[in-house]
Amino acid sequence: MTDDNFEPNIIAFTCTWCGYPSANLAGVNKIDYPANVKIIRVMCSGSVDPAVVMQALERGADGIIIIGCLIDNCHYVEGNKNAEERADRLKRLLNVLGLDSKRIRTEWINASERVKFANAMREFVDEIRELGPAPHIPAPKRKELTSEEIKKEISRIIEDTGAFDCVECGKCTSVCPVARFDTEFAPRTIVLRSMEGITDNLANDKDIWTCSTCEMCNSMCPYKVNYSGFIQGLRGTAMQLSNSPVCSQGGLIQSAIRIMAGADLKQNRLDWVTEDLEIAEKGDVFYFVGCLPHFDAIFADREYLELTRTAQSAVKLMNAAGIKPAVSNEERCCGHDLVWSGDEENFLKLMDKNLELVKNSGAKKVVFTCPECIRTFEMDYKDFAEDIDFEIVHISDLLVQLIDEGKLSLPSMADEIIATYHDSCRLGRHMGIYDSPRSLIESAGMKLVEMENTREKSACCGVSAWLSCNSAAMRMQLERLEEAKKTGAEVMLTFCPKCRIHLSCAANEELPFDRERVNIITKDLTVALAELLEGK
Amino acid sequence: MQRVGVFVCHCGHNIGSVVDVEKVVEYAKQLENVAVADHNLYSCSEEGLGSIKKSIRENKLDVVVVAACTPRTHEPLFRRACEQAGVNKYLFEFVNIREHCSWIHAKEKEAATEKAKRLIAMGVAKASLLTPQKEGEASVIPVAAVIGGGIAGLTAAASLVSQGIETHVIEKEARLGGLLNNISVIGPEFVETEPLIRRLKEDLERSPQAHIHLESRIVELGGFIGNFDIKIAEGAKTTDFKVGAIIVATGGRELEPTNVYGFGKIPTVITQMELEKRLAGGAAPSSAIFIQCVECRQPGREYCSRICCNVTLKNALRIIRSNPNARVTVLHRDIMSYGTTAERLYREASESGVSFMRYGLESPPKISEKEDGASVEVFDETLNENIGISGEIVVLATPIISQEGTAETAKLLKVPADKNGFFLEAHVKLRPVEFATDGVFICGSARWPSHVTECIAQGLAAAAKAAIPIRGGKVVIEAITAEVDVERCAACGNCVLACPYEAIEMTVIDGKRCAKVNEAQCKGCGTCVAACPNDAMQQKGFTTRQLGAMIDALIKNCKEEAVE
Amino acid sequence: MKENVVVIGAGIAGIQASLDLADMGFSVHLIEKTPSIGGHMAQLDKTFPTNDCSMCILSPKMIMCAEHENITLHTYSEVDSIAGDFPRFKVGIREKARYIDLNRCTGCGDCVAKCPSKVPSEFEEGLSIRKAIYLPFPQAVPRKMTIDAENCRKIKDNKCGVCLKVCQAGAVDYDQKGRIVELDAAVIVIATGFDLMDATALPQFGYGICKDVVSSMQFERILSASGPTGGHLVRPSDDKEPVNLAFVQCVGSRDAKNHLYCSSVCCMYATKESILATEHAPDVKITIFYMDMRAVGKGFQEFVQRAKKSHGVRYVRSRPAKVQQANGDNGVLVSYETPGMTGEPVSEEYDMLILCPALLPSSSTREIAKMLDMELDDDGFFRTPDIRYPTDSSKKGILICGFSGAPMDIPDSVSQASGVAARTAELLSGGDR
Repeated sequence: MTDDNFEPNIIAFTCTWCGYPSANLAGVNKIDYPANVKIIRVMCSGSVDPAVVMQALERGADGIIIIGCLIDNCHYVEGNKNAEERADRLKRLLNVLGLDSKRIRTEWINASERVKFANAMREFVDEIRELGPAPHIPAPKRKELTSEEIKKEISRIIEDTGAFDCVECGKCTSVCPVARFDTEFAPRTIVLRSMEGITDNLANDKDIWTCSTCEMCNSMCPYKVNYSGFIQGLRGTAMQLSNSPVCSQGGLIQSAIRIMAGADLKQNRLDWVTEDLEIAEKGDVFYFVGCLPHFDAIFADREYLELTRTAQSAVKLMNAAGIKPAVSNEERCCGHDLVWSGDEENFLKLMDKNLELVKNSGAKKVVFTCPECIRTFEMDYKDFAEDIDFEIVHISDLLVQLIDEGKLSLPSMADEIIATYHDSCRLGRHMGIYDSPRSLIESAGMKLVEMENTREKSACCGVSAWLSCNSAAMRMQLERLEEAKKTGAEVMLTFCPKCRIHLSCAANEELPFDRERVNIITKDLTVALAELLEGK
Repeated sequence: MQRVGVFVCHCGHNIGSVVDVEKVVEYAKQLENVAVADHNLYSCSEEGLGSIKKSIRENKLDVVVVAACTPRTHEPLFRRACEQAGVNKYLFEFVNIREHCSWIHAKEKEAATEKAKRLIAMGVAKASLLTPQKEGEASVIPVAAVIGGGIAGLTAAASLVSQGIETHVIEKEARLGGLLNNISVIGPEFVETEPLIRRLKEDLERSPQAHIHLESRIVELGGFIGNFDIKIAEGAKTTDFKVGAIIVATGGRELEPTNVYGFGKIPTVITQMELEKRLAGGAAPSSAIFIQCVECRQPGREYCSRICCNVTLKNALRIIRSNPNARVTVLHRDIMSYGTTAERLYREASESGVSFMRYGLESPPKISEKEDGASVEVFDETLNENIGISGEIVVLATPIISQEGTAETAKLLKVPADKNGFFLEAHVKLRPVEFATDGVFICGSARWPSHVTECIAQGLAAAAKAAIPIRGGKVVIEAITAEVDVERCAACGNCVLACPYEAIEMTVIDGKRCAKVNEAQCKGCGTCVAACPNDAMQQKGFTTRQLGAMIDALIKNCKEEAVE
Repeated sequence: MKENVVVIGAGIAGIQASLDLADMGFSVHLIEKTPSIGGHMAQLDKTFPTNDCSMCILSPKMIMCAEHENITLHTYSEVDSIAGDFPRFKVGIREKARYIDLNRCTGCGDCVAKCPSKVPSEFEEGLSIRKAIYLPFPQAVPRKMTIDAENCRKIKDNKCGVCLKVCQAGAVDYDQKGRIVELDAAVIVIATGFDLMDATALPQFGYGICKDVVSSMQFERILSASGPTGGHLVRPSDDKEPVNLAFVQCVGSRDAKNHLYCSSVCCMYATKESILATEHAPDVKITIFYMDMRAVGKGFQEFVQRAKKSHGVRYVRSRPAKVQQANGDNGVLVSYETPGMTGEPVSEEYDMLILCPALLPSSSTREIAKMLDMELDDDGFFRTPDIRYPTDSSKKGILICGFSGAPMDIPDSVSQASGVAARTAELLSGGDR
């Protein structure tokens, strides 16, 4: 893809101590390099936030080069090493996304190496010129809404979600896990304000982003108000008013998803497919993997999560039952995180791409491991799209069915393991899948011990759609881990990759109390079952 | 809305002959928030600065952008001009269109002009989001603490007291003096140590400014530069005091040989310290063999302990001087008598009949016991053969190793130690007596084995460094530091782990756990910003919003051009 | 009133002393005879044993000196006279004419481009040229031009004058005169550093005779990315990359006929330059002829081991007796005796030879000593007679730091420089001990 007229936009982040002065010296010595390079000075290469880099790529930069002091010579001890590690993770992500990882480069140059600086710039510009333009994703379009239109829109949401049934009993607030720790947050008041027609503050309302959409309120509401749907609707409207959320990871993940929505990509999603796995291109059963490979790249510093092992395990289990599932490199993010952060426009693009994909695969049945993906297909896709004629099945239901039919048998465990099971909100309350996971744990010969808050009352991992990560979330996570630890279980099983990511974050860092209180391994249930199959 | 002023410099021909400055100025005028754009032949000249200041006042500018050369040399100048015209000096953004533009794109004037426009658009975008900053100030408790009462620590303390600064000396033993208490004479000029230590002690004892704590150790330490809280256990009681600066002078110790060269089995095989004791008592042997580099400069302990050769030269000469017929042999691998006087000592020893034999690491001397001492067989590298020699005593020159308890002290002070257990200074070349942590300093053999004169020089150096904040009465706190958005902080602690300066800690604010940046310790590197998953940590003057605005400005700018 | 302290010499010792004294609140006058502060450290490519870029760590300190409100720089200046006693010295500073109005010069370099007069660059150790109007090196502080009158056609012969014409800032002034500035000083700090011994005085080592024999400082410039060869390792005779290099240690030092003392830093910088040379040209073979490998500082032994093991540097304990031109114009023939009793004379050919000459007390050291009527020690360094005060000279209020007191490396010089600040504060607090 070479275009002779293509002039790439290159951003060079230079540290104040070596990168910037080496650029100065190149100037003093009049060593030319292409004018495509624009330098942004930062104090240390280690301060360059990966989210800023990703955002630059999303918005239209074609290449980002980060220049710091020589490794081991960092002015700030080891900022450059941190920068390199972060750049490596980003490169991994770009590779999965199908943006060439060459678009991000790091160079360690000392303050007097003017020639090295200029050469690096020349090489990089040439390389990017060769690669061609990066996808430029336009910012979501905003409608100019009059306050009448806003009111109308909100009335529609109230109607759709049954919110007019609300009798202001406050049960939602009393069970809300966020409200427990964040006393300023009350689900009831959001509904109330809307019901009373107070909509002017929607443009500035931060509370709508605070909700973790765990549906504890939905499940407890005596009048079955679809509170989470209500919030989802409000968020979409709020985005039109330029009220955007604070995303964790600096919005890096949303950026990556928007790139998946808007760009023509040569993705590398299937690197996890090892030779021993039997997969097909087309077939009756389609396995929708989700964003596991992306998360493995983004959270590469938490190697133990090994999220793509879930995908491998799912295929192994299906293979063992004689199913050769179709998987696709063309899969895109299901859009869960966009629809929950108000970006309906890009969500719909993703949905169209995925539905087209499933259709083309000829599948009659789509299997999911990820609770968010299945919820998005089952509820959101069905909301927006009409012609969904395939069956949507969670791996847990599928496995139970296969065992019942005698197509799959799990060997019993040599030593009985005591395990507890964490119902993620999407699989549990949203999808109502509670029994199959438990039945699988028992058929695997593990001893299941339940936590204090389980099934419909299962506690939330604190964060959804990378929006509400804050100290309340952290406390929710720690409390959940503590609950799990109290059961005496050796391992906490779950199906949700994000629950594992969020819980691992809480358990990893400095704690205000003895680490033992929350020290419990989390494990993906699919992985645990596949291990059993392999006799591990 | 901010009123931004843009001033583009011609720098004579340097920018003006490549970049079409006037065109750039016209372009800048139509950028969002720009109230005025102008150009100067030399913005940094008296005339240029004068016109910028005038424009700031006349146009009521909030923020100033200068597009000229490099902030490395000229930023202070323009910042000063802003301040003089009543604009906070951090409401200033420097755009480099000389080193980063006209000088490199001299052959493509068109491209250089376009690039200058974009760089200025980026500068204006960032400038519009700048907020005023102030260098903070923290008061400094005018008291110092010196940990360790050996020669380095005593010198530091005596210097501080003589500068009029109240100083605590914390010594773990029952008396001051450290290693020199066991050494009567030091080389290369054969100075007696007793008067040296006595005078330092007297200097301290007669001063009301000095507090000597014997048999003491630090049990708790908190705070930061200017305001440290120290709790010491002094004998049976504990004492608390506050200091503004801390000097670490905990020294080193002689390595006790393990079972090498018959040490512990053959009574005439002794350490250098033992020899010091005997020589101080006046008993010089009739013959002596020194073995250098015992258990060092070898795998497992690679370093050279710097001082042992000179100690051996001194003691060899003391033996010869008291007994001119004595036979003294030094078995060595390199004689490390660097400098002037030590090299002369080496020469004097050779000329006085001390024989020097070089052995290799792969063929160390072999020792056997004899009736009147010990005999040593060594492969002489110069002679290329095995030589047998005997001596009344064999002296093992073992290295200085790190002090007991270094790891604990390091942990208390939150400062690092190196792989050999010595304290690790802030920079081995240019900051030898400082730690990366402000307000904590290091001197003497606690950092690296050092000769007495070097320990004294370092003690003085540490005293100077500790005196600077105390004399000033306050420390200036970097304005470009990290800051926490308490609401967004999830207290995950990633920033605490990322900070190389121990400047971030977890705390509770209004019942909410969150990170807190200690601005006195923060160096403004911003590594924590990139580590924060939640955008809760921001670096003043380099916020992600500001950087994002620069990127947007660049890209928007390019797209507009493409449309044209 | 802030007391004045005069610091003589703006190498790393003088710079550090000035910064610490200024931070203590004294009013510092830093005198430097060349047009820029920085001293020898500015010429170094890297520093041992971490191979930190020398300019990268020095340059911020130089800029701090220029910006410090308590420091006045007197560059291109020399001490003319010193009179009086502690704490009332009178110092005459001779500010030489640079023919440039420092307030006007913006350091843009337009004049340099046009100046027709070419002179060997002192900073580049004669390996490249500069102009008669010049900035000694790109990071010079102050970043202002200087006209070297001896080589300026306008000043010498009243011809040319092109720099005046091209300077848009109006900074060139051919009629500028030098002047004497009289200062009161409470304390004087001497940091006059070292000079490299001129190895032409030792013809047996071939310096000045064989083209491919260079001094270690010249080699440092050859290795430097900002040096005359742009960091390409080439030898002077034919600009080819050498395959086989040798270093000779203790040239003129540890030598009864020349200088008895050990210069303290050569073992380590030769090791550093060897490592850097192999980094520039991975196939180059390096031999270091040495007497004792004095690697006594933090990380030094490990550095030497690294040179041996990872960079293949060969250390030979022998002092070459003779260096001759090899066949033709390129390379050298080094004759030495193999180590050991059975030592045999051998001759080996090298593409290039680097001499590590004795580092001498600088010429300024002798001049200042004479001016103060102070006796130097047997090796020509300032005496510091009382062990309690290793930076105090024999005269009260005159303090010594860095190489002018004895050979030492950068960290020791920096420690002494800070020590001088402490001693100044002590002396001026009246709490003298």
